[in-house]
Amino acid sequence: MTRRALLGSAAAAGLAAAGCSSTPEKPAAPASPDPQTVLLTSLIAGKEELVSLYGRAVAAQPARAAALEPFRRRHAAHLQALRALLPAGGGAGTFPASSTPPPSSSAPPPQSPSAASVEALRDAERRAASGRPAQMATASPALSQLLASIGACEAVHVVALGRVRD
Amino acid sequence: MTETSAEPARAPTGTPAGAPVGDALGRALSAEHAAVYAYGVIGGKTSGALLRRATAGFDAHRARRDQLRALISQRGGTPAEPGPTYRLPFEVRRPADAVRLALLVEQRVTTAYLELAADRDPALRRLAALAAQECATRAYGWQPRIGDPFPGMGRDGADVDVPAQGAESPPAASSGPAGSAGAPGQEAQPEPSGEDGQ
Repeated sequence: MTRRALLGSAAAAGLAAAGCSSTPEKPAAPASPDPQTVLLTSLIAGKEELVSLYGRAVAAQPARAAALEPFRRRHAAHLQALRALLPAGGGAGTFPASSTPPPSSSAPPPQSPSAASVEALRDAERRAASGRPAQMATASPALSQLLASIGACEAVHVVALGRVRD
Repeated sequence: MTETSAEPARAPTGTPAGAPVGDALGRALSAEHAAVYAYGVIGGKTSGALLRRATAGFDAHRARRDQLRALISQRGGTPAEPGPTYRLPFEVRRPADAVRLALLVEQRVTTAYLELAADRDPALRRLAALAAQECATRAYGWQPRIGDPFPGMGRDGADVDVPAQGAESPPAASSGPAGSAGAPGQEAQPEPSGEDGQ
């Protein structure tokens, strides 16, 4: 018993040491906020990025504005639905609306000249849709359902944007 | 809520293992059973490219159905069999009716998967997420139009251009107010579907 505990702690210590030496940064959130809020904040940031990507695409190609606007509006609706799930008081509500880099996979690539093309939009939609299942794993039931629906919309966008091209 | 057309006898208490196997899983299976049936009808009323689309949809729903069956069995439940008969929400005579039915089916199956997406089991959530994306994408393939930003949420009936009956058609054939083609819910044939080689 003691021996096993010893072995166990030794192993743990070894692992910890190895881990610490290579990873300076740990997911240590000082006064860790509610995980759902953290998740939501990241999802909201990702959505905001998508919305603004559409804004950039329209700015770059005004001729496509009419075609792209419905897409942007649906993302705005998603954004609104996600924000509605944030706790009212926002216990951890000190997140700047759009400047927080989303820690999740839905972060779009850094802005580049091609970031405003329809193809870039498609890629972003594809990434967003394919990231939903993993995000749902730790989401509350209501958020999980919402994400499933949002992901379905994004998956449709991937196909629908194929008609906007060229 | 999620049933497609009529689910005559879904044995409310018939599952020996009882509740442990999530109801949402069972309802997803019921929705897929109905979808397989409906796609059999859809395939019977289409040709050419539409028939190919119908066949692909049929295969996809059958694969999901079998997957859900297996999952329920693995969890100690008894997967429900397809209903002996399904009531279609409107008569399917022409390809346009078939397309309309396909849209309705995809919408309802999506809704069933959204319900499953709230399950505690992350594996089921994942399945639900992927299946919902597939359904919504298939629906777009049938009718390239996006109405609702929240597929399957049923926030409005606008997902589908289905007149009157919109969401749930009441089981009683209340001779559809809009009388789609003058044929409210017909009783479909007792066999689950000719093509569904089970």
